[in-house]
Amino acid sequence: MTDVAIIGTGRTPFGRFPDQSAIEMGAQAVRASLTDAGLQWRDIQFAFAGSYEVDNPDAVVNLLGLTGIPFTDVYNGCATAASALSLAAQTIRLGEYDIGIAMGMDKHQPGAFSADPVQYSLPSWYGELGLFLTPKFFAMKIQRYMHDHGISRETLARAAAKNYRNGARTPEAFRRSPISEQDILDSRMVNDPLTQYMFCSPDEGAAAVILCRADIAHKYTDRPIYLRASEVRTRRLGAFEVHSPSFPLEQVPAPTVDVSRAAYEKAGLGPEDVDVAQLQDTDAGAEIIHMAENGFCADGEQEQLLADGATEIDGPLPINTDGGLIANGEPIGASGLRQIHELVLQLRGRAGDRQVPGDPKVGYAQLYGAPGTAGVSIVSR
Amino acid sequence: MALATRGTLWTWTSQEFQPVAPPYIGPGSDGTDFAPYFVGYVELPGELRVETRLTGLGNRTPQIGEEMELVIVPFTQNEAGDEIVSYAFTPLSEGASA
Repeated sequence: MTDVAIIGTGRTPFGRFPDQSAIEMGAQAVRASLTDAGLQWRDIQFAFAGSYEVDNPDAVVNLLGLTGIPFTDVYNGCATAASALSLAAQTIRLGEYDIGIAMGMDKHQPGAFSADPVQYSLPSWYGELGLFLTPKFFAMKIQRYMHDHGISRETLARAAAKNYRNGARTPEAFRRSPISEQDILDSRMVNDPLTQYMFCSPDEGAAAVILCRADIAHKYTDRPIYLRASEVRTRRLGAFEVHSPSFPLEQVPAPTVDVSRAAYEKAGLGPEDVDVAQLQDTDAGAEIIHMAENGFCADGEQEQLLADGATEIDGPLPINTDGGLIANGEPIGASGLRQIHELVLQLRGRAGDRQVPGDPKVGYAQLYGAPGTAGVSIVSR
Repeated sequence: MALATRGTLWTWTSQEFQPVAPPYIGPGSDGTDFAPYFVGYVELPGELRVETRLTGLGNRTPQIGEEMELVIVPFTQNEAGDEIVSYAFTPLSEGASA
């Protein structure tokens, strides 16, 4: 099958922008990615766009040009961007088109996401009782994980502090001030053991990635980045997942474990080959658990790894080099494409103040969210 | 099928902010004071893990592995003033001595 290359990426600043619509941010990210690739909008042959808040993100063509291309809107929870990227890559692999774009845009209200539990095939009493909440799931998952694997609260604070420091080096990040580990621990408790500064915030922003057939990529860039895998999986019976009134005693691995293995297999690479990783840090605990679920360490090793600074930009396994969700916030449709944008910058050696040393060659991006969906993409030079 | 009414606490957290209402109808949803509450999963031996509010803890935090039992507790009132009850789990020792 045809290999796929990334020839352009772009993002907007993430944060809160009362004067800008999500569609306008989407167009801004697309224009940035076109400039990066040296292309015009009329060169784009198809598009996939992800959004939670915008019903029809394809309306972005009103700002970019009405060129008649096939344009598909996708929504798949926190893995929305992985789905858009995966579908765009498959369209090229199948030989239907040569050049396409995956984009995402969102504009969320502050505060935890809320919805009608009935739309998640859950009983209405689950919401009435105050159980239909995502933050408390993440808290309960890391609470058990800390109990089983000896992870301390200080390690949670270390992960969050590292992401704020990296955000301070990322001009487009939402949170750009370093916060000390002690201030993170002392901030308002939200869901024990997770404090306010250990959580990301739903916010606003857009990102875009232009893909093409690998054999023509040299026409657009002297440094194409190859999309080696882009996989999505959902939870199996027995996984401990968000929005579960009950679940079986016989546990199976989380969907992140399943999708990670599938992506490594497809890429012909393993965790030991990865030079820089972007992991879903909905909260500091999620980043720590996802280190193990994606094969980067054994359960419990995170305690020593973070004490040693292993996941810092200059460590052996840099994680969330742009500050991740904790520093960028989470515009759902754009979040995963923000990860790809960062990996492409890193692999091209153009990440500026936050460049991973040692000429990184393989990048890894993972998403996870309600109702139990995970995506992994692997890129390489 | 009737499930066991006793089990052990598998994990827990505190819910320190008021959930969005609706869907939430509990204390605080009508503008009155919200009180944080504990939530957890209780493992029913040989059956499953069930999500539940935790009650009767006083000033202490829950402990993973502690034994708990089912109780029916007052939860809130509807617009007609009728009491709405809920299931919850409470530590076995406190429950037995109450």
